[in-house]
Amino acid sequence: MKYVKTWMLVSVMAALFAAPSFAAEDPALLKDMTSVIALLGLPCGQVVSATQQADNDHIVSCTDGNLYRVFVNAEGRVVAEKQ
Amino acid sequence: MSSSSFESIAAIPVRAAGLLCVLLAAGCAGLEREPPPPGAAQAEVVADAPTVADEPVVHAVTPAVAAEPEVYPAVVSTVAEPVTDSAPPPVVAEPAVRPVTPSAPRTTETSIAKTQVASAKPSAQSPVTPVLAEPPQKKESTAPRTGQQQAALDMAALEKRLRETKAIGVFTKITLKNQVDDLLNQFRAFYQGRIKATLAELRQAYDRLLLKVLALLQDGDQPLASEIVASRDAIWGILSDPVKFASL
Repeated sequence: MKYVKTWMLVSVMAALFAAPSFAAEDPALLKDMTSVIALLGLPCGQVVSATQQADNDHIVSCTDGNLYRVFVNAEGRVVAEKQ
Repeated sequence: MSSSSFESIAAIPVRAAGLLCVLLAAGCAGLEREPPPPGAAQAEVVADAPTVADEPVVHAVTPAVAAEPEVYPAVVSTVAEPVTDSAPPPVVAEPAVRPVTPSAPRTTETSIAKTQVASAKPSAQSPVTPVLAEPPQKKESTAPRTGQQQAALDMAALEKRLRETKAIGVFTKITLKNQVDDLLNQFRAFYQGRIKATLAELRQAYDRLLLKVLALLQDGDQPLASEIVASRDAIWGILSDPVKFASL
């Protein structure tokens, strides 16, 4: 009974904290991120996954192993920072 | 004997009704084949002239109306007037060209005049031809001015289409906008003498940016890519002229 309650609590917590990570495999988003990084002249190849951290803020991983944070800064410019 | 006579009398209304039906059917068939009297024909043609004249206009307007209803007079004038400039042929770009409303009634008059020429008698053609002769002269005088307007307005139409295209994602559009703004700032600094770049270097930067845009559009929105390629020199003409660039 104790283990059941523990597992129920774990599953509820996982469901709550798993919510922000969505649209990681949206093809349109991956293509958009690939184009952005290419336009910015950064090495990437192709974006294989994109995780949204916040509004207009994504962490993307590329086929060549690079990891970038792509976001829109306060001046309205798209910036890609290598992680 | 009396019953047969009674039957024959009773059959008369039946026969009359049948004969009446036959006559009515023959009369209807005869109406379809019978040509209309001459007087009525002319009246019908003249009465229908506005609608007949409007038909080619409507067909030309239909694709553009769905895009922008306010450019109806522009398309009407475009349909009636021959293409004299070197602007790209697609209709979507051209409708944004002219907001000149006086051309619409003139065009309608031209269409009505053409219809009247087709239906009127030969003796009536001579007073009509001056009407047809007038519009080309007016068109020539307004062609150079509208050419510049066409270039300016084509950019607005291209910009709008670029913003609305589904071939590019949101982040990519923002990035392109940033790079376009950077290029425009370079031009601004060049004309103000704040940088030592040459026009040839700016041309290279312009070509590189345009290639990026075309690479993004060529698969997803080929018509827009084709229009941008066709407008390439026109856009450079505006950027490379300080007077035109200041008006952007």
